[in-house]
Amino acid sequence: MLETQFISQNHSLLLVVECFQVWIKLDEMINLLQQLVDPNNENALPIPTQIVGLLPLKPYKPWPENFALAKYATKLEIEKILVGTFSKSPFVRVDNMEGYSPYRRAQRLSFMIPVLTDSVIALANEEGNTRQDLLEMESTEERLDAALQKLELICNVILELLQNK
Amino acid sequence: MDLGQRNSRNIFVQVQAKMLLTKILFGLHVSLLPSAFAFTPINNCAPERLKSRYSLSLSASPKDESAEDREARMDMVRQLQKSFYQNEDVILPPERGSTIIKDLPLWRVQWTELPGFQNVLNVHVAHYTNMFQKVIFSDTNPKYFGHIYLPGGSDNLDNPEYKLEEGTKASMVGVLMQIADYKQLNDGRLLLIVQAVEKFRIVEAQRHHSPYAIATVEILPDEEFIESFDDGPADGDNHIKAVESAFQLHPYEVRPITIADCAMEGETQGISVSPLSNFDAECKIPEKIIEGNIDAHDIVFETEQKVGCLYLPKRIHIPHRFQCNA
Repeated sequence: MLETQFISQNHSLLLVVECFQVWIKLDEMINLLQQLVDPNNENALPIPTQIVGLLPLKPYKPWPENFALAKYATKLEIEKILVGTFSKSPFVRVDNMEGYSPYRRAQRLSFMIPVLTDSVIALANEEGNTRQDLLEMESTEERLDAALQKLELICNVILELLQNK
Repeated sequence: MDLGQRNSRNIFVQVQAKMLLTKILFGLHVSLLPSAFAFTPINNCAPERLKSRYSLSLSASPKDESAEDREARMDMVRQLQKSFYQNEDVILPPERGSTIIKDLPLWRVQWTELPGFQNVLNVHVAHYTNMFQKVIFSDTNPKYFGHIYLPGGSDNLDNPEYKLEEGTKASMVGVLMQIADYKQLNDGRLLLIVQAVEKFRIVEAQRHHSPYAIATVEILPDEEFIESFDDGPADGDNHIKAVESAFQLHPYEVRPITIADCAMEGETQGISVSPLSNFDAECKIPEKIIEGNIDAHDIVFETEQKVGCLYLPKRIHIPHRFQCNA
């Protein structure tokens, strides 16, 4: 095997694992936020469908049983729901598009996470990476890692708040 | 039309435009208009004389002007603006075999955009209204400009500490934006729907200072995406391939959106846009991209198999596609 191919495959390996972990943590954060702001589960938290559409159809291992994002994505897909600005765009699950690069999908996810984390980061009282820091990162993996750290931080803070309630 | 005829026509149009603009604007609030419309008053055209000759536009001060007269006058102004900007240089995506965009006008502002985001801009500062009009009225699609972070925004545009070169405090990494739709308001402001498509690094600034910066930039996809085009040591420049592929993917990744799509209905009037761009369900990925991506997909799927074997507990059912013999 050529060395360059080996490097490329190693990159993919880390990227696949990193993406999976980000999805799991994102789902956990949304679940915790729901418990915090709406314990009776009366209203669903709004989740950007542009992010949900990036969810892999065939992850390298099955999603956990309580993983809600996969069910939500399937629902949007089956019901052909219109989403986006004033609900005028058809929902797109990018894995259904032949030829769309999984690297590109991961890159897009890494840039989009701040739209969720930035709105709740005040809870964590911690600024972390700025958007400019994220932009300047040269690899998707590095950016996903930063996203994962921020998600973990937020989850920990919400857990603490829930315990003190 | 040959070049000589075209130049003559352009000169004629510009002279006509300038004359008409002088008629319409003299004595009115020029400050509402972009700085590009500053003109040299004609010595013998004193305001009094103009007022008597052009009663429609100049018979009254702006506060006495009727709404219809104002609208008619502003329509003429917009037409003139278009004629001024019709021959602007176009900003094109990188040429084949290149990762570079030349002469990109830069909007240096106090926040960072990220690829995949979109925004509504209300441009009211004269120098940027001028810049955006040059982009809007250029004869090309998509219409590109660069978005780059500058603490303090226009206040620091001429600050040497933020000169666009390595070693200063200036951010050298920004985002290539495309203008999805625009509307010019009666007071000269521009309403724009913009979509962030790609990351870039400034290679060289042609102009650092006001009215706005212009630079040559290099498009920078992430390392992993670049490496996914690696077919071996003798296989040319992966960066170029990644950039070409990225630009071919933009129509799919960024669904066009109009101002009408973003108009709030009901009592609350305004414009609102989702912060993230949607994928375009009606857009298909070109065949050559699909063919070019097969290897990249295979690498990921092979990796998924390996990772699956490493991490999956044995009791979990593995779909046939991901089963491996190791």
